[in-house]
Amino acid sequence: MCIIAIGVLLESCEKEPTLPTTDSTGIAQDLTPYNIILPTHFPPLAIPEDNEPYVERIDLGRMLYYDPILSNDGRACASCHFQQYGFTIPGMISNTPVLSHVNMAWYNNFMWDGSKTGGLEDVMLFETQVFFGTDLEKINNSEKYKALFKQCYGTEYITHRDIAYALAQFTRTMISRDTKFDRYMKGAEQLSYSEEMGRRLFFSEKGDCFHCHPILITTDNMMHNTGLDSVYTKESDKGYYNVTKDPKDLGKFRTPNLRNVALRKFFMHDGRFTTLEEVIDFYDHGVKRVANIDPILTKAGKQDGLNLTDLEKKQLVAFLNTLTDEAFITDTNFSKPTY
Amino acid sequence: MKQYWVLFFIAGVIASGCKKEKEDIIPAPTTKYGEVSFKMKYTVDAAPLYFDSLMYKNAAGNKYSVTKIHYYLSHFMLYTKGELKYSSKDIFYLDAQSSLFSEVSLKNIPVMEYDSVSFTIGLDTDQNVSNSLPASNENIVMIWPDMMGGGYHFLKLEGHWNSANGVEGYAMHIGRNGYCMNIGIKHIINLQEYKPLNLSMTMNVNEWFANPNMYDLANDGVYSMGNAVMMKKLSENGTNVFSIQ
Repeated sequence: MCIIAIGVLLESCEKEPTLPTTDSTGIAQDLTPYNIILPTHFPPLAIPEDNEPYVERIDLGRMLYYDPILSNDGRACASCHFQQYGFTIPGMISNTPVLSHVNMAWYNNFMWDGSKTGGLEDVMLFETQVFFGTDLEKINNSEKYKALFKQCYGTEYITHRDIAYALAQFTRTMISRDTKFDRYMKGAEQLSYSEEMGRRLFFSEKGDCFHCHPILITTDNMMHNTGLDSVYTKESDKGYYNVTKDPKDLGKFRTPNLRNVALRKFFMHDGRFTTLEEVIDFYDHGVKRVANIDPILTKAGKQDGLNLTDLEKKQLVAFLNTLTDEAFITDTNFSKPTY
Repeated sequence: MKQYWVLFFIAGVIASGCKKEKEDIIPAPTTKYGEVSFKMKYTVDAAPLYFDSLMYKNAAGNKYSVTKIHYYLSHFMLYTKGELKYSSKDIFYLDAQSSLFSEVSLKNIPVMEYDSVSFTIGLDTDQNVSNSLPASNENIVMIWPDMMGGGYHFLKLEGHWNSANGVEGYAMHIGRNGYCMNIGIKHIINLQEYKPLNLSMTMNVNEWFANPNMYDLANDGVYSMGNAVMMKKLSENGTNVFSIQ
C-alpha cells in the first residue's frame, strides 16, 4: 500500500498541473479574470455564472457604453450619463431626471417605477433591445466588435444578449466607495460639526432618512409612496402602479441612491425639486398624507412634518454633501476609453 | 535527485503511520441526525393575512392593514422533558411577503423525540452587534443606527389604520438589547434520520396588539422605534404571537 503511494507521488511530481481552459461559455482561456473588490460592509455581489468578470469583457462593455453604435440616433449610454455628475445629467429626459449609474451591482430593480427587475444583465438587455433598439446588422458589420465579441464571448454573431452581457460587465464595476462618509465610517476622516449633526439627523428618528436610505448602500431597493402627490394628474406620477395596476402602488417610486446626490440638478421622479434644500423642505412640511403613504412618514407628533429648524436643514444638507465621491467621478476606469 | 530523498522521507512517515493505523481504529459515530423546517405563515386571528387590506380589527377596535413584516428569529433550542437537548446560534431573517425568506430550517439535530422548542424574536445581546451579521441587502436595511443603540431591528411591523383623522400609518419597530422576545412552545418534534420534518409556524398579527397588553394605536402610539414604553409593551405581547402546527 505504501509502495503504491510512493509510486503515485513520484508519478505526480513529474506532471504539470491541469488548468481549466474554459468557463461555462467555453471562452475563458484567453481572458484575464477580474476581481471586483467589495467596499467594506457591502453585500456580496450576485454575478451570473455565465458572465464572470474578465478584464477584456469589462473593456468591451466600457467601449459600448460610450459608443453611439448602440442606437440609431447617435446616442450612447454616456449621452445621458455624464461621469462628472455621478453618471446622470444636469437636465432631464422627457421631463424625468435620469437615475444615476452608481452601485447598480446591488440593485434588483431599475427605473423610477421599478418596471425593470432582475440583475444588470436583465436591465441591459432592455436597454439594448428595447430602449436603444440596437441595430444588430450594424454592429455585426463592425470588424472591431466582431473580433472583440468573438474573443470575449465566443460569439460569431453578436446578439442583444451579448451586448447586454458586456454592458453588465462594465456597469457592475461602477462602484462608489470613497465618499467622505465612507472614509468617516472607516475612521479615516472626521466630519465637520455641521456634517456630524446632519448625520445624526439622517440616522435618527428625527430625520428618519435611514429607513429607506440605509447606511452605505443608501437605497433599500424598494418602492415607496412618500406623499409627493394626492392627485395623480400625470400618468408618470402613478409610478409603480403603472407596472402592477394595483391601487396600493399608486405614487410609489424606487428609492434612489444618494451617492453623489449633491451633484444632481433635479430630484424626484419628475424633477420637481431642483435643490437639496427643496427636497428637505418637502419632507419637513410638504408630505401629503395619502392612504398608501409609507407608514414611516406618519409618525405621531409629526403630523405636520419633521419640524426641522433652519439650522437642522442646513446640517442635513451638509451631511448629504459628504456622500459625494470625487474618486468615482474622476476614475478613468469609468471614463470614455481612448482605444 | 533531491526531490526523491524528500519522497523517501515521506514514504517513511507513511510507513510508520500505516502500522499505527492498525492499532487505533476509531469506531464510527453512533449519533444520528435529522432536520426540521418551519414554514412561516401569517394570520390575523382565524383569517389569513392579506397585505395592504384595511380590513382587520385588533382587540382595541383599531381597523388596520399590514404592509410589512420583517423580523429575525434566532437561538432555537429543543427540549425533552425539560432538558435542553439541542441549541442553535443560527439567525434567520424572515419577510412575510417573500418566498425567499419564509422558512426556518434546522439541521444536524440529534434524532430523538423533543417535546418543546424555544426561540427568540430578535437577537441575543451577544449577537445584536452592529455589522455582526453578513452584509446582505436585507441585513443592511434592518440595521438599527449606532446613535440609537446599534445592532439591528428585531421586528418591523408596518401598515395603515383608520384613525380619527383618516387613514394613517403605523410602524412598530422593535430593537435594542433588552427587547428581544423569548418564546417557548410545547410541541412534539419527533425527528428521524433521513426524514426531514416539515412543520408550520404561524404568527397571529393580532397578538401583537392584545396579549398580555392591549395595544391601542390611538392611545399607545403608532411609531415605537426609540420609545422604551411602546417597545416594552409590544415585546411583551410578542411572546404570544407564534404557534406551531
